[in-house]
Amino acid sequence: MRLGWLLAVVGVAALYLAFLVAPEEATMGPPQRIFYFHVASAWNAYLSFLVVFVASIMFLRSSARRWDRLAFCSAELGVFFTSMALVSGMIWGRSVWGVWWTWDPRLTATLVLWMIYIGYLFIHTTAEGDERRARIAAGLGIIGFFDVPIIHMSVRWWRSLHPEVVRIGKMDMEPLMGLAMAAAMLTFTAFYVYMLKWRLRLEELRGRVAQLKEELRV
Amino acid sequence: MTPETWMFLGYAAIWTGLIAFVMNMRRRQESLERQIEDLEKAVAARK
Amino acid sequence: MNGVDFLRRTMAIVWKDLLVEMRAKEMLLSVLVFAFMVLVVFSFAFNPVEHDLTDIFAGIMWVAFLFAGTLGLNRSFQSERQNGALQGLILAPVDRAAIFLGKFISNTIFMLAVELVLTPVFVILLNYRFGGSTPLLVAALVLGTVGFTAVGTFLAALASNTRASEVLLPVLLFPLLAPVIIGAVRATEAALAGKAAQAAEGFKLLGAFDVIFLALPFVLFEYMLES
Repeated sequence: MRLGWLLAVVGVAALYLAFLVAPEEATMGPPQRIFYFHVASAWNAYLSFLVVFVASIMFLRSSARRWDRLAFCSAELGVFFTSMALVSGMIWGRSVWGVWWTWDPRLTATLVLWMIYIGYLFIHTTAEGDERRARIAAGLGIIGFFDVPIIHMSVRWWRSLHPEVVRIGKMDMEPLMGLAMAAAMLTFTAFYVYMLKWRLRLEELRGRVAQLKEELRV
Repeated sequence: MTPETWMFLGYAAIWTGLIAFVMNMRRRQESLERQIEDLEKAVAARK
Repeated sequence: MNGVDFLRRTMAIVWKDLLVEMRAKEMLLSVLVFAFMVLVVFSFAFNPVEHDLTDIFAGIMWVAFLFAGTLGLNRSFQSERQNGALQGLILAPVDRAAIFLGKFISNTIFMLAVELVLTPVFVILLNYRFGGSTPLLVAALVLGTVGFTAVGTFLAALASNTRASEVLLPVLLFPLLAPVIIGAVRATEAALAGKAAQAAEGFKLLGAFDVIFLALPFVLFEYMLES
């Protein structure tokens, strides 16, 4: 629970920095302050998917179930943080650009990423057989992560053929803004670790339930 | 809508999501713990 | 197992698939008819007499091929599940990578056959005045199809283990295929217009995708099918 307290302290500090210390951005005004936590959500999403990738490789090499559990829990958190990034991004887009959605390369790539890992969660819950399901999901976890940079590249190229309707203005980060950003990133990373630990414990409890049920059946 | 409202909406969305996720995990954990308790009692009664 | 044996075994699987298909003709025909249907649906949805469909001709073509191809991919492993045929394949003294490669080659041959038949049909029915370069068009079709079947064969093998594999396969496949869809449609567009430089851009993207996503399943397939 020590991590929980740390999280609370860092979280409050991050909010304080984002709202009161960081200077207001000149063109976008107050909504720019969503940016700190929006970017932190997106960062967490990529971090989670990286963990899925590494855990999937480790699972295929070792066949140890805990790697599969780690990959699954991390994928769930990744989808969650991607959703957060998409929702906050849409609200930001509505206030700054006047539209809820635009097929901006970064938005599109994030949307595709979101769909890939929803597919991962699907297959992890519907495949038959414990061992086989874990193997299949690991395969998808590895392939999906390799696809990320290619998707980014292709989507950028796809959009560059169309006239750019909106641009994210080049943001000059002032030092205090950078500090707020760093605090938000730290908070969210700690959040990720905290939730991952909790989520893994939940999976262990579920395993225990299955085991007890098996014992009762015999 | 004023810029402040948008900012408020954005923050509300992020934090509501986080809190909902945590609450859901807590609920699931409690139900699993209850289940384990019941099952352990049943196992003990069998022996 | 040396390289020659590996190739011989791979070709044995390809030959088996082609033979089954020549006898039964179920997959090739249904895929052909379905792709044709997509074209007809497009014409109903966007009246080709009033609208000029030439701008989105390449897009229509690929949507039809990819949707129809997904049906074919579903069949390629589902049919092996009958009578324990997949078990037989796995137990055979064959590298698992050879199973993947064989399936990939036969799926690619099927897809290319479908495209060979349908591309002229599409050109005729949509009154497309073809003024581009045929070699470029062939290159775009082949590179796009290889990317599609490489990822598709791998995912079809994975999805065949699930209850709702027919639905699951496209859900898994299309997000991963985003680069192929973009690259193939752009390259085909450029080829149809005879713009070699722009087509080359697409070929670069497709080529990179094809190499990566042929190599990855090749390595991973070993771990995917446990007996």
